[in-house]
Amino acid sequence: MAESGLLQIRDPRKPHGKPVGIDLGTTHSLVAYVDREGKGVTIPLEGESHLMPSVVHYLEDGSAVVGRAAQAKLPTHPHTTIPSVKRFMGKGPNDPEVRRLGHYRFAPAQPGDAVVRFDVGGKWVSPVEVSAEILKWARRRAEAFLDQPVGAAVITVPAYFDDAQRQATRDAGRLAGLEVLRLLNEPTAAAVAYGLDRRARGTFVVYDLGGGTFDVSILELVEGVFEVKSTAGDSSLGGDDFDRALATALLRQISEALGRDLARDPFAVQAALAAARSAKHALTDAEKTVAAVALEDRTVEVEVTREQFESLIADLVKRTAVACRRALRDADVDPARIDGVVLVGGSTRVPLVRRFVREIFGGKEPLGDIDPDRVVAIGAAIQAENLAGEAKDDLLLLDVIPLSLGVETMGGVVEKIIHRNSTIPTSAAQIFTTFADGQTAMDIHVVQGERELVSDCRSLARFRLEGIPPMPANMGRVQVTFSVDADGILSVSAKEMTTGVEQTITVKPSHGLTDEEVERMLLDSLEHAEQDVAIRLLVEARIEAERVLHDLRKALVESADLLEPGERERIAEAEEALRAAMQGDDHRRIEQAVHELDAASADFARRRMEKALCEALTGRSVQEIE
Amino acid sequence: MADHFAILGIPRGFRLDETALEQRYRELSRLLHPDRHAARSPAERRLALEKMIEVNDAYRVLRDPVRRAAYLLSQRGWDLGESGNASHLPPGFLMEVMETREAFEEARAQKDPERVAKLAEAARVQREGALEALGAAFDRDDDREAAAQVAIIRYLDSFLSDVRAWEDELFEEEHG
Repeated sequence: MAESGLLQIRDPRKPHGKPVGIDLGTTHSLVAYVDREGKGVTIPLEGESHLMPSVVHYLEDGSAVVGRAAQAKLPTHPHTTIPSVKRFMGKGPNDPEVRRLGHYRFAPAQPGDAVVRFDVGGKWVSPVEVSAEILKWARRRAEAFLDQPVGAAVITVPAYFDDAQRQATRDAGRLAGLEVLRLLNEPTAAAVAYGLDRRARGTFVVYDLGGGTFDVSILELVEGVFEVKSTAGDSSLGGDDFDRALATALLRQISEALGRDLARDPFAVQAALAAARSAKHALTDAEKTVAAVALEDRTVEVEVTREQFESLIADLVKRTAVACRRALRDADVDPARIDGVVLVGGSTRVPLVRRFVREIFGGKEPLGDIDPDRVVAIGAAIQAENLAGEAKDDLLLLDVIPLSLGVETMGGVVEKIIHRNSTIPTSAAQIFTTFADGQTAMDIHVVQGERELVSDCRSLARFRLEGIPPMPANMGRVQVTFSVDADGILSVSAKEMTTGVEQTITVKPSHGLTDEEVERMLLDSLEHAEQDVAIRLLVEARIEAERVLHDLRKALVESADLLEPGERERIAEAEEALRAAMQGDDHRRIEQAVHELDAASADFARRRMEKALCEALTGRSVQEIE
Repeated sequence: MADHFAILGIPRGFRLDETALEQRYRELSRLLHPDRHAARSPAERRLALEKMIEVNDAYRVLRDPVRRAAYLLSQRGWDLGESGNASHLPPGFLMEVMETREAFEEARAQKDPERVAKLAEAARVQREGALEALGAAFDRDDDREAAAQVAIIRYLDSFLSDVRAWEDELFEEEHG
């Protein structure tokens, strides 16, 4: 059991062993870390191979098998084996994704349940749970390879993932027992791997066509700062669609020849998809190949030429141009001024894709010398090291929010509050006014997307503001602040303007799991759950307390001149209380004492921050708070 | 809310050194970005986050000349609003805009992208001129004229954004 490492004595600065980067891909997942020479390297997860298929197979007892062993079960167990679960992250039961060609069996939609679930033989599992299995297995194999615990990770997501998809990914990480240091956008991760490698400077495009998602990002690199200028994409377009296009053509041809419709037979669909995938790989180098579709009673061979394949996928590849054009325009960059184009994702091996990329970006030969399958995990590992405070490179990533956030106004029209491609973290406030006499509550509907009508955007959350004092219409005013953190995830706080009463609302996406559900799953997934969780909480609280004390000691020595009369004594008192609490085994008491120490030293911390800022602004050497 | 120029520590004014602005933004980001504070106390993380949000907001406004101009003017009591304020427009301009809009509607109905491209090019040239006039107005402290140029640019931008939306539609039709 992976949690058994919890009671080891660890350096409070790195409470979770080796920080890793995890590329949780549609078709494959990878784990990377930074080695002693400071180089990002991927870890073998499947024997020699560094790519672990993102496939989960559920056994009869409900337990899961992940990776190649699960993939091997696909032909015989199409219902209890889930590939490409990433496509379903943050999706509802009525999402178009659920109706595409595939062999999944979905649980009947439950009234009030906003999450799609797979029926894997008597058990219903959400995409978050399936993804958590992939992460758990990846983590376990990484731990075995590194021979040390792995607990803190940067997990990559497509840049174009919306809030619900990001929350689902973060939940999956939590459910797998990982501390998610950051959700990092895949193209940004790739840029980090390339940029640091080459000490590059200039404007770069990252064209990332993976198994199920497409992203394009435009970045400017200056002195270790990676500033994302714009990003665009399509979160349901990828190599899987190439397979599906070819498989559909194969099934049609074979159905005609055999005189029976195979498109509804999950075994045949699965066999056609597998044959299509192999044929696609073969056509990267060969001009023609044979797709062998292994039906139950016979294997049918169909010859496929590269030309035929390219004509089947041409429309899909062309679709990526829409996002490229938008990204270029939002970044206000002329294709002629691009210094390099980086190719990421296995699907960029398809020759038609390469030709197409060259064409849209002014004939420039794209860079692909870091393995396009591994580059994202490598970048994520570098960022994980950076966040754990161990990186030597002076690296900083400034990323953006991919889709605008807005609220519903009269007539179902969207009012945008935070525009797409705004640098994160960011926040914006909006004042809402009551429209009826004596109105004491207000409903707010948050959406994400670029279209004008609410019905064309993605519904993120609905919430109700209550406790507005009764007043004539238009007099009640509530200021709502929308904040997007560095993971690209939204939180909302509201302040009633006449009384000044403030409240923070946790926005959970309409198509996500609730916090309670995640907690319960977390408990269910642990053996001896309650005891383990209690120990874990205590250990974590102590580690956090150690860290706070350590930081504070250092700050007090460095900035003794900033203390006001009596302040040192107040801080010392809170420090003592915390040390006393740490002797006990009540994690809540420790957390409370940390909180009180935090409050006692808040003014001091503010003065330190202001001094550092002041030094930065007056152009003196930036003396970092160490 | 603190002043955008003060937050970024650069001299107040319409004319500014863009390289210095970018440099300053990067320096402050290095100091304040949440990634730099992942292992700090909650109080420091919160403070840095608040400041980083202010810095991002200030940079978004100041790096763009039109937003920068509108910000300077609003601080001096000119009400410009996000979408422009018609009362600042020079006489005759609205008429001109309406004519251009009509021509665009016609060209759109006839699916004539070349004519639309010509209209857009003319609007872009006019925008360039307005941007220069805006700088000149600030140089001689003529706020009324500056407000008029901001309003003109916003009208042109709104027209250009409609043109782009139409061009995107066409492009998306072609590219499935």
